[in-house]
Amino acid sequence: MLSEDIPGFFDRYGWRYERRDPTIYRTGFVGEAGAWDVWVRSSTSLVIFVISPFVARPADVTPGPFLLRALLKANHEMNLAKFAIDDDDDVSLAVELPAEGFGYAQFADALTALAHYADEFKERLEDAVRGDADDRVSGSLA
Amino acid sequence: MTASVQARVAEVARFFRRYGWRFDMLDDETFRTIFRGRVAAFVALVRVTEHWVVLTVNPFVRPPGAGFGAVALRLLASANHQENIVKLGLDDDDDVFVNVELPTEELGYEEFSAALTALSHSADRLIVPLLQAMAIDERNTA
Repeated sequence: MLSEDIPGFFDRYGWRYERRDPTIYRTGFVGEAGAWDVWVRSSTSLVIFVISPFVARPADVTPGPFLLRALLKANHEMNLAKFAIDDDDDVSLAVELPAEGFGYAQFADALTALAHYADEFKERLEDAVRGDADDRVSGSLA
Repeated sequence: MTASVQARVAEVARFFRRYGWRFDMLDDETFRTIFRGRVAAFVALVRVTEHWVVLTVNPFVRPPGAGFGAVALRLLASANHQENIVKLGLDDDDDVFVNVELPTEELGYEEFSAALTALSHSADRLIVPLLQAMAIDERNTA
């Protein structure tokens, strides 16, 4: 699979996109629970689809146990996609597939999975962020 | 079992033989294999369904009595960002699992071998840091 194949996949899927550099594309969608930017990055070994940040969090506060636990539990419920904490402490929702054998079917599966799970888990992860905030407040009052 | 799953099971058996790993069948759709890393041996299952081939080590680590603490949860959430195509999470029993999920469409030996290699390398790379994180959590709550 070459990065040059991706525009054709977007056209076939029916989503608009912009090419940010030779291997990075940006698209987006509006779901039932919100609007997201999706970044698609290809290399010789992988094609990665990612939404980051997936949920807003307070600045300068590391992710708390409610959020960490919620995203790890969500990972059990999803096929193909996964939540993670990235290097900036943001929650990301990603689909990573091997570039070998990657074609339109995989491209469509990846975008469909991201759109589906973004809607499904947004509220749950936002609740977890609030749970951590409440926990910090109770901890500071104790 | 549908004919397509049956055919896929036969294909995965050929992939295992080509990869050079022995296996046995837990049921008609589930393979079991064992691999030894630098510090531990792991049991991996490969489950074939109509749409997915799921490679998993579960339990990778069982939860301590008090559940996983913040340091271990953080390590697992961050590992999801660092490990390509591998997903870590907590299942319904709070066991840690390590998974690679592949869509069955156009699944070939290259994808299967990349998945098995990623699963075994990630399990081997993460086991010691995870046990260390759990020890730190235990000390923090003592």
